[in-house]
Amino acid sequence: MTQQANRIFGIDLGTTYSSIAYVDEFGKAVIIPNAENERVTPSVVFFDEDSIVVGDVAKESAKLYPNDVVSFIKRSMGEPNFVFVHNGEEYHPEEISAYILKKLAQDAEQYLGEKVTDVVITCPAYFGINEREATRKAGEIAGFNVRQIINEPTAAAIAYGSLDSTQDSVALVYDLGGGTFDVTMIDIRRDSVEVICTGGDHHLGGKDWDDRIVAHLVELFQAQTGTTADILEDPDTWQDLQLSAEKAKKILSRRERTPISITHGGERVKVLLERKKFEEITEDLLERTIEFTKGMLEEAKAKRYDHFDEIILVGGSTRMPQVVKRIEKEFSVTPKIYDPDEAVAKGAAIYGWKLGLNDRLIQRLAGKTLRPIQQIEDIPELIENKELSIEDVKKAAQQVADEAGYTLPSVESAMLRVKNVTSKSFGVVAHNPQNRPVLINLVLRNTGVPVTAKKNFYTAVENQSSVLIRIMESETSQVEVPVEYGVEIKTAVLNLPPNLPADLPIEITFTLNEEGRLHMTAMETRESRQVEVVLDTACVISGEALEKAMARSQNLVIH
Amino acid sequence: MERDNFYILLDLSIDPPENDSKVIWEAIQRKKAEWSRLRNHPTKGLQAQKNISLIPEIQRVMISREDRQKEALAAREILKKGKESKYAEIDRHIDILMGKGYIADADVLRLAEIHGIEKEVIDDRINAKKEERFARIDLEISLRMEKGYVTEAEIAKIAKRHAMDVEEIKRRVRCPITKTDKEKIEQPRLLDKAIEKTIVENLKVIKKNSLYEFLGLPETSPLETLQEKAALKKKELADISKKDAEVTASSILAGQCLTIFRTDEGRYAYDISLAKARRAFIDSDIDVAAIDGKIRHEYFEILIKKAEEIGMERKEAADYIKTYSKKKGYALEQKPEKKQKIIMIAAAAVLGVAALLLLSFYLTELHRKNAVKSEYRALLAQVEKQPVLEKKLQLLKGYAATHQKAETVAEAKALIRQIESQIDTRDFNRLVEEAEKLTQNGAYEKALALFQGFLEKNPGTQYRNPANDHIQRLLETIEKRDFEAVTAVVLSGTAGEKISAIQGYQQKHSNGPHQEQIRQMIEEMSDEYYLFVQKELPLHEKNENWEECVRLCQSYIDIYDNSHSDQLKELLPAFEERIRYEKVFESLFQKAEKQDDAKAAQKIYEDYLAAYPNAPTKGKIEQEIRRLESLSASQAVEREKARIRSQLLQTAGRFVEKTDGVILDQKTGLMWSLLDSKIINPESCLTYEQAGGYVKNLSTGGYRDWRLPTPDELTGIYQTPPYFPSVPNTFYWTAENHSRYADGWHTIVTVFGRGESPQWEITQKDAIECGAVRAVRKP
Repeated sequence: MTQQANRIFGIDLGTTYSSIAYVDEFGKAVIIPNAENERVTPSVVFFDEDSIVVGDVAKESAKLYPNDVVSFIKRSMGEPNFVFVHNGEEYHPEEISAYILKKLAQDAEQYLGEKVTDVVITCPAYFGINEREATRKAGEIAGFNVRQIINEPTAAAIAYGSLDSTQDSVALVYDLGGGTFDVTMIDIRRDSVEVICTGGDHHLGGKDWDDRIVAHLVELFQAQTGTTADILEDPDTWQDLQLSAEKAKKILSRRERTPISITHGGERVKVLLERKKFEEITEDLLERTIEFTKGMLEEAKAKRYDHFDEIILVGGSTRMPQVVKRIEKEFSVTPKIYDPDEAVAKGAAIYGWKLGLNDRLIQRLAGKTLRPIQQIEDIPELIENKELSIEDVKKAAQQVADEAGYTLPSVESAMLRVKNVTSKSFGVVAHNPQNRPVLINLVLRNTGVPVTAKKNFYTAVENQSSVLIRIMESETSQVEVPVEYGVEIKTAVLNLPPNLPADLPIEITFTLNEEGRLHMTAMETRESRQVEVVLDTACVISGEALEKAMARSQNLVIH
Repeated sequence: MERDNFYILLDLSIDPPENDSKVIWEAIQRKKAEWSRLRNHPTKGLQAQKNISLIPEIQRVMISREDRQKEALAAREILKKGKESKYAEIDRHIDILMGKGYIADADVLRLAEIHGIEKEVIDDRINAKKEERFARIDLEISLRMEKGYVTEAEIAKIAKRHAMDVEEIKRRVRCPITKTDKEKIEQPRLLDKAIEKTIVENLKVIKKNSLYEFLGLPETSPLETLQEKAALKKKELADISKKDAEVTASSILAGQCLTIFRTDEGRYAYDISLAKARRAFIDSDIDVAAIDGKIRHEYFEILIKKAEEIGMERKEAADYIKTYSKKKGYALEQKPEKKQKIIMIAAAAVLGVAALLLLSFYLTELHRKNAVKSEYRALLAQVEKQPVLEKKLQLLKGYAATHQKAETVAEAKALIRQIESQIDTRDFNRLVEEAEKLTQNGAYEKALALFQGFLEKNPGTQYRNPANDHIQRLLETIEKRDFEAVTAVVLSGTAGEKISAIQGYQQKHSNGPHQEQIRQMIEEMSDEYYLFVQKELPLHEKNENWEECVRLCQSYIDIYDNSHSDQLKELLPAFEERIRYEKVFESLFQKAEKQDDAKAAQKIYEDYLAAYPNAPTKGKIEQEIRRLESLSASQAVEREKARIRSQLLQTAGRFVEKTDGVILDQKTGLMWSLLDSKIINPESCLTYEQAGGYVKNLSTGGYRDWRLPTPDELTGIYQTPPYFPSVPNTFYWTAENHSRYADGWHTIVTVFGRGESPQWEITQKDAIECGAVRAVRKP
């Protein structure tokens, strides 16, 4: 690692809303308001003739220009075949997300008067390699140095933990956002934040609650006007109802009922939506989150975590009163609603800030150890190994504090250890004794990262010329599963030297880094020939499309 | 799951099929943008996501000329199917013939003739119909649940229609049953429209019709089963990494199942919604039929049939269609009526005949009166002379019966009563004597039966009270004796004996004075008897004696209502189910035995297994199937042998059968096995490795040195005339093989065979594929 003087910003790139935060000179995480003076920016992009508009204006434009507006793009991250066509040009999800990131950064630059270069972006814990890679690419298209992609619940836990750093606790972070749902068990300690288990559904969020209201409104409209036509066929009506539904949902979090007007084809119908009705038509969605939570708790038990101290609710959708009620009923714990809209961005900012301080500390301490800077990652570990003395570290911390203008304890807390788990299992396709292809997982989900796993596979016949390795991602916790359970993320071919016997071991090694990025090595054991694969996946924008997106984004000003 | 046809999905011309790659490419791009736009649509989003995920496959298929042609053909087929359902007419005819409760072989043959298809096809359809019966009953019940209850009359009708027991139908009903339509039933909570729609839309994505079908459970399944299956489904879905539209839709449905099937109320609401949806189906059919505002009577008939299909009965359907049409303002065309004249004439004739009969009866009466008096006097004298009471009575009764209108009959009747009383006294005294003898011998029951029989025969007897006293005394004696016997058994017998003794006592003396003690005994035995049942059950289970299992459980449940009985109640349905399965197996067996052909018999079992893959009799059935398989296999092998032998005669002496199963090629001197591995076992799938093992173990004709042929050797017999007798669609492994680049773990082998094309040719196959062996040896 090198000296990193730039400030690192934290960005919560959400399905419906996004926000950006930084750590001020007092070591406190602060949300930076956008140009419209709002603390969160709708993740909506409006392609207005030749310019691009992001945020509130874009969202409002959806009613008038439904075909030129893109919303909920996060749900399509990692989907290779999604394209938005505007004026004959194709836009991929990564590029559209980049516009949102750019808007956040642009407004922050204006507010703070300094350039945004380095960022930490968050994504749902549940995101697989494709989606994570797509998120990173979005940051790169926007022109950032993406320091790290971290999980939203981890960020929320960091923000939460930073409030009261003397108390150790095991927390359940229930994160119900606009488009995704995550539930994560986190062990928060003074010097570390460790993810124990995670689960969720990236197709379950506030939007699904909105969609139910929309469907209900359509029914009411049909009942009152006697029409049987599907009024959602009309893009204007669809967008209008989508916005009305979101508003109604928010009002129903505070009030018992809300009036809604539905306009379509010149006809206008006024209806009253009651909270009771709303809860009835969305009960199953809430039930699904509970099922996921129960499933996650089961997995945690396997890791000997059979209790939790508190439940933290994150994400705007947890404001719905029924969420709190249902959780209380199921787990007999009153959940804490903690800064649902801002915790994630703030946590990312704190994490980024700590990364920056850590860089500086390492820079200072490099001279004291015999190791090159690149090899110093974990200062507490060096102290444990007696490669560094506590005094050395204290002295360096003081220097950094003086130089940056922070207090000593806040610099010392930069040595926070974040331990994550992988939300997916990874393995390869092999043939079982019945000669059927099966997926053998080397790394199971909810294993702590970084992790390295090795396993031997064998050649089938004498003088085999090559081995085909299909790397698969899956969501099971079993070692051997049918191939259909997984998604192929990459293939590699290992060429073999001639005259090998049958049953020769081929050693396959998987290494997952802290961010969940996968690296694979396959080696035949006779001459030690090997192939290495870093997983950059086919599902993410690349090649010509990426170059095009980069070029378009370079000088783009977002409005 | 069957995927959508790409021609249809892309809105491309099908007839003639669009082949311009530029047009196709543009269509794909257009659809890609359209689907991406709809990706977050509240109701169409999932379908759009599903379509987006199909794009790579669409591109692959539509670029390849061959695949594209196949796709276009399939599209045309789909369109054609939409126009005419192949079996609709046959099915209707079967329905008509089955109306009488059975369908005769002659009927089947006639149907086959009418439709110009094989009898087996008709048989298959009939079998399918029969299996549909239960589904049909559920459908009929379900439709009637729409109003929130089902009436007893409706149930009775359904039972009658399907020739089933009313109670059995009742067991399938999942809502309140009322005596009449007018009873007040609390209106049930209904499913919200938006939820209904969510369910319907998502079911559409996965191509299912109801949540029950989604869970793969019958509509009568208990709530807990539904709940369990839903949770299981949810878990399974969570395990699938590929979160495509189908998985997402299924997740949503599983969530709905968890919510809806949590309470009876929720399920009830869903059932009503389902019934409504089915009714809505008919509404749209009526709308179509009344396209010009009028429904022709032929259409009316078809609509009734359609309504019957969704579970309505004929009259109900007719009324419904009429009401609906009236509401919508559709005119119904009337069917011409028949005349009623004939009935009127017949009624007049009946009245005339009745008047004539009355007149002749009156005249006969007058004529008879005078002869009566003198006849009575003669009778009295005769009675006086007769010593036997019964004979006297007989005379008098005979007279009274034939002279009912005579003045003398009252006197005669008084005499009859007098004599009857004498007989009564005499008989009773004899009875008491006889009973006393029996009592002394301990035959209390016989004595009791005497008195009871006496009372039954002489209900008006003057000795009613004395007889009852005797009966009472006897009953007490019997009760006392029985109770002592029970006490004795309770002291020494096994739990089974005890309970049957106690139950025997209870049945016989439900009001006996020892009831309290007996109750106590039963109470004390609850654990002991439970243990006994527990011990006995596994023994009977092992012997598959399910009736006995049921009897044991039921005997406990009948006596006790405690936690043990609850446990046994849980076991009971499984045993009953097994009995049912055993019966089904028995009938399958009977049916299979009647088949001439082993294949047909096997099909009966296989069809059953396909419909009930988890039947507990699966093991037995599979055993039967294996037996039949080997039977039909050996039959097939014999046929094949005969065929090949007959073909050998046409090879101008080149190929001759040297010994049984070994053919000598006179031209090359090579010896070939008459049968290949595929003929010996048509299901066999020999990988290359297994092929090696096959020749190694082959001992046809007593030779043990069989091997795989070389490509040249195979070419020599199949491509140089006169040819070796050929077999369809297979390929033979040869001795030639080599490893191939980038194939993973496998060897590539040269094979000889014919796939799609009729020509034999040399190709390459992966060693793990399925092939056959034509073994060869060199003498």
